[in-house]
Amino acid sequence: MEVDWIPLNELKPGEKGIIRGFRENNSDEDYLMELGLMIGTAVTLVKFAPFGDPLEIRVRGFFLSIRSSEAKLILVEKIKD
Amino acid sequence: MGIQEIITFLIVGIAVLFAGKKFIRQFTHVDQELPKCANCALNKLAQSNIKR
Amino acid sequence: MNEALGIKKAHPRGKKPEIEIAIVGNPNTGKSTVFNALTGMHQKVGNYPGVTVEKKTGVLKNSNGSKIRIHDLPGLYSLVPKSLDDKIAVDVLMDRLDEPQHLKLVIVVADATNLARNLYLVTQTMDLGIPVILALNMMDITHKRGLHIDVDKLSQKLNIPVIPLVANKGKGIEELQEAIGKITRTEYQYKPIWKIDNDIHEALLPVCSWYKNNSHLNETASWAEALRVLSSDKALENWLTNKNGSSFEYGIELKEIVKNARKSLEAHEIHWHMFESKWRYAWIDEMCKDSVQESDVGLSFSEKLDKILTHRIAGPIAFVLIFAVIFQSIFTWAEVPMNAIESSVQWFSGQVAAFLPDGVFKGLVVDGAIAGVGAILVFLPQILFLFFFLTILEDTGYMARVAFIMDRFMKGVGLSGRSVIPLLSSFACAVPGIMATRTIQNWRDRLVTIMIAPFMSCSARLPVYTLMIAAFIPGMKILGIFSLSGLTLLSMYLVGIFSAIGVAYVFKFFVVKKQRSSTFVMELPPYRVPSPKWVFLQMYERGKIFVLNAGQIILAISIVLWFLASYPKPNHQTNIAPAEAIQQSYAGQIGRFIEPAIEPLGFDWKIGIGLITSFAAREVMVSTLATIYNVEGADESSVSLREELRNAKNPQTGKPVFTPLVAVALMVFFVLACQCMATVAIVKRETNSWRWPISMVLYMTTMAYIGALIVYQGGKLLGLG
Repeated sequence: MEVDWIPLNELKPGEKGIIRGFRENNSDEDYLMELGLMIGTAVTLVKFAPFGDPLEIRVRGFFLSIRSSEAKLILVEKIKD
Repeated sequence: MGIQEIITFLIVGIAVLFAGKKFIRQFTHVDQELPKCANCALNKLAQSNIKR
Repeated sequence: MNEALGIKKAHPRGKKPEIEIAIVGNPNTGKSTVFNALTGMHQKVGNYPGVTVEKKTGVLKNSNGSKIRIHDLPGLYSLVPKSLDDKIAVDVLMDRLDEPQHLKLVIVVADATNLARNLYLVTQTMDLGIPVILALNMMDITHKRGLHIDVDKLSQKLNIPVIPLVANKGKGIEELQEAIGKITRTEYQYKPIWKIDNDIHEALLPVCSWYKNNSHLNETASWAEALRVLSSDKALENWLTNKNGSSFEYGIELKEIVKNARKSLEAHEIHWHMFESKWRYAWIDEMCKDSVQESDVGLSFSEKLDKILTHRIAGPIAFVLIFAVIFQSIFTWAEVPMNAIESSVQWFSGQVAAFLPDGVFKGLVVDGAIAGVGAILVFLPQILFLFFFLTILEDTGYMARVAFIMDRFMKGVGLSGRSVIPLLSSFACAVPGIMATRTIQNWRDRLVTIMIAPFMSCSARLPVYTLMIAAFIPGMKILGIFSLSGLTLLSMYLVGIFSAIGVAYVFKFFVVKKQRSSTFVMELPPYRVPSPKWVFLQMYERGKIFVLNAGQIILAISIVLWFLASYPKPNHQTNIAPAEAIQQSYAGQIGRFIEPAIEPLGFDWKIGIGLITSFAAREVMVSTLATIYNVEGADESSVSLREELRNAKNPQTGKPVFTPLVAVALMVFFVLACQCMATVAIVKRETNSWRWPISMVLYMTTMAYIGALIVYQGGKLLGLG
């Protein structure tokens, strides 16, 4: 794991990242992969929900709600705009 | 008066049969959806919500 | 019709056998719109045998010659099933049902603005070895979003017909029908357009053979499924246990074969986990590069709207406001039409009473039928308002945002945001709400959601609440703006919600343990403008059922009740007050019998009768009170039910039967009691056992009794009664 990879939930609202890796092999991540979150896919963290969780991401043109506990297993490389 | 009462009791009898049948059906036909539930707009709404 | 009766119709001479096709797609692609456009009125709803999943089929319009039956399958993202609905869809596609369908064609409806993800399902479906048509919907939005899709190129690369559609405007439907007609008339040869490396091919071989020997899958589908179970334990699970949770005999064999296949891949330094997804998306991304051009057009309307509706501060405020409006409407705005109906019923009752000769028949009609049914009809406007708003909420896609906002809280009681929509639906009626839990993948979460759904005060309780509040809660305002009546109504809903939370807690800690942690991944679909036709259709349908229901079962019960309350008639010689007379009737006798049990709650025997009859339907409580008080009331002047209840006096003590405290206790009883057989039935069906519905009836009845007890006795202690 490289130093500038951070968990997806550590992006700030509006920031974009490229998925570089997944932390654990659990079946939850399977679902996300089927929806198109793969290594190399760009994701944008849109916002956090009013009470802090879950968070909304934009990927491949659509919007997903995922929990921080799931998002932190996805490692991204932040892209500077 | 006689006819009045006959008609009245007849109606009551029908109502009893009807209500009784529906009441018992609820228990004996638990595995089948109640017609009113099956055709209910809400039901369709909930389904379409899932499948849309 | 004949099918429903189980009668097999002999084939009329010259009639060709039916062709079965299916329509699938991701959720929120307008699949239903396409299905409706293709089938028009020729639709039938039933159930798949053995499961409580709705089976929706239709017959294609304009099918020249053979009859084409189309199955509308539940929306799904991938052929790896994650919920019961998914499983059924996949089983139909793979011919795993007890009655195999042998599909000749599958139409995949896709959202053009979301092509890559939709293509995942498309390519999976193509690999079933059945002809596929890609119905590319929402083409009008692609232009708005700056997407340019080369449909011809797409069709070329996929080697299947691609029909662009704007389904909700009817565009493209004809072309789709043509394509369907063409394909169902020709022989199909699967032409593979993607290849698998040799290493993988080798590893898959034993798994593929297993499928060829043990399932209905054809050659192509066997390869595809082999790849799928190799890549995903969840996909493999689908073949190890059947819908009731018991294991298949061949499960162990399959598991072993797959394990070896995975080992063999690892030996070639290929990681098996989620291989299928990676492989498919690689192909999809490559293909989209050519066929799809994107340009940046800024935020969509949905995104802009969500800036408010899911904003940290504005979001919750908007949520409260929206539900406050709904609340206000079903209570205050509905008042005018409700009063109008009430006056009309009273007028009608007066007319009939003047017209009919005195006697038994008149009693039946006026005090039984008209009083009972009329009391219920009054609440029609409320029901319509409720459904109007709920339909709009659901149709726009706002419900997903509610789930997004509330997930945090749901976690606290051991649930997830996925339970929000079923629970919100339950405020209208628990039956469809409970059915909607089928999208909840985790069994424990689903069970708890099912068990707490009845606490969300359904629309049938509204007449009871409204009557009690209108009659007994003073119309004063708190702090100048909030009406006490409105607050009382809100409190009833809150009692239900907090009780639900409590029960959820109990389940979380004591009853059922979680097998694995549940996830909450949910798509936030673009907002859509609710279709006025659809909204009014729902209102009309629901209103119709309400009125028909009133006209049938409630009428019947009112008549029976009138009889029980009027007979036996007291001896004509003695001059007994009507109040006394009714106590000696059958109803009175039954009522007095149970009265001791409910006296601690502040209820008298008439309320007791109502509690019994409300098991037929909660709103019957209102009819029952109307009939009983009408039978008792000697004079013929039309007085509203509210007035009757206010004036009701206990013949023994002379004290009022109803006080605000009694009214509140009664409402609390209704919040917590399980009085709906339909709910019990649906719980039994969805949980596949009697254990849960029976315990639900038991603990809810107990809670209702104790709740009302605490309110009444507690209130008296505080000097409120």
